[in-house]
Amino acid sequence: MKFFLWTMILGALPLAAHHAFAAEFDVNLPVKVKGTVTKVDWVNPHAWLYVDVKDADGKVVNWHFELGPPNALFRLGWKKDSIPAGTEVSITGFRAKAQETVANGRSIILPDGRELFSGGSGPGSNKPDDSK
Amino acid sequence: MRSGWWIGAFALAAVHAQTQAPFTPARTPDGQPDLQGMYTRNGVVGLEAKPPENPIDPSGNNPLSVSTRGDGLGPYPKIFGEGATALRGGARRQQRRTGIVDPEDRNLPWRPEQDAKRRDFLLHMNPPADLRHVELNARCALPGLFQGEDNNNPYQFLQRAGEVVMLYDYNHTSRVIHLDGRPHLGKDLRLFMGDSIGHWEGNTLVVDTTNFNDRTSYSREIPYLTDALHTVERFTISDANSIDYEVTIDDPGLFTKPWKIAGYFTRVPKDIQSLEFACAEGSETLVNMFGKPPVQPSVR
Repeated sequence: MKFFLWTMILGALPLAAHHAFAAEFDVNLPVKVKGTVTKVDWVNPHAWLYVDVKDADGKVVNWHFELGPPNALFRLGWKKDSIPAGTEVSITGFRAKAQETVANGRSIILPDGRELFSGGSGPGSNKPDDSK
Repeated sequence: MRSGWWIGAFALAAVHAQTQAPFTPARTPDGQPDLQGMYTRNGVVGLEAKPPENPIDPSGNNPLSVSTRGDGLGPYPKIFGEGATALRGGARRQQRRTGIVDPEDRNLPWRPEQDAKRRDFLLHMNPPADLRHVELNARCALPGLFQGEDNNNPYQFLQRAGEVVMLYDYNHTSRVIHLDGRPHLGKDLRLFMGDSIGHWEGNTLVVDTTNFNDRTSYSREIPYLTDALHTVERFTISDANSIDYEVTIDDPGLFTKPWKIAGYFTRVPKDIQSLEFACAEGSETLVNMFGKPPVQPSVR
């Protein structure tokens, strides 16, 4: 059970995706937040992860992070309860151009250190089919 | 000694002939070569020799690229592109030339004024000047013939008497290819997926498609096509797990002569099923680009 066993691989991007990244999200607006998952919405064309985040004033704001499409997530090992509500996560991504608390999710760190989405680039660390 | 050399040569030739022998597929009840199953399509990417700078589709060569940040924090880790491997179950197919194969140099036969027009169009896609400049896939338009593998979504081939049906996982789309010799639809009927008439030449399914509308695209660099498009596709069953694919594209609205793309389909592991993909269900793309509309809908 390696650290990156949960690493998920989505479809080819940006060459292939429902939308191009650059027209919707701003690569110059990276975000990194810690918070509590409120729900994962398994909808097309992209699943959404909702996270309650406390801002500097202690006010709780619900951030929305875009994930891959449900089909891709499912095929790559995600289950409905992979990130249950209440999970504390640290998440990085890039903010939407026209929405202040909406972002494209890049990497999600779970409380036990497992990382969703990104992983080490070394052989064997991030491919579900490495054993084949 | 000499005869031994000849025997060896013949043996090698026999082995070679055996490996080159055409694959004989099973037959469906109505006698068609059986290509049914679930596949991913590979290689059907309109990579031109000199693609224009495309602000919505950054690449390493593009100064606007999201991958040239220099801090290793591109929006997606590089492993994202390996999804196709997961769908293939690790199986790889012998490499053949894919992408644009005619013309040989991958310079498409653009009508100069149309090439200039699309280059200008691309520059208005980020930020999008208006709804027309939001890429069609992002608006959940059907994918047409060239944009169906989105997140490596597979295709399922089904065969009935006189028909081949292609089910697209992406955007839950289908194509019915009629083999009964019927004529194409009347010219005023225009379809996202076109009107497809096919016939078998040995193990090759040849499909002639017309009646396209102008609301799908070739690629991110060629973000639209015209309703003058006429395609001829050749699906050749090459072995138990592969279908070679070629499509000749004749779009006199944009190009001075036809050009050709090649790719191939590979069978996916048996536990992969086609799932619903309702693109319009939860798309937030337009809101994320333009902001929320002044009046919020009362229901989702």
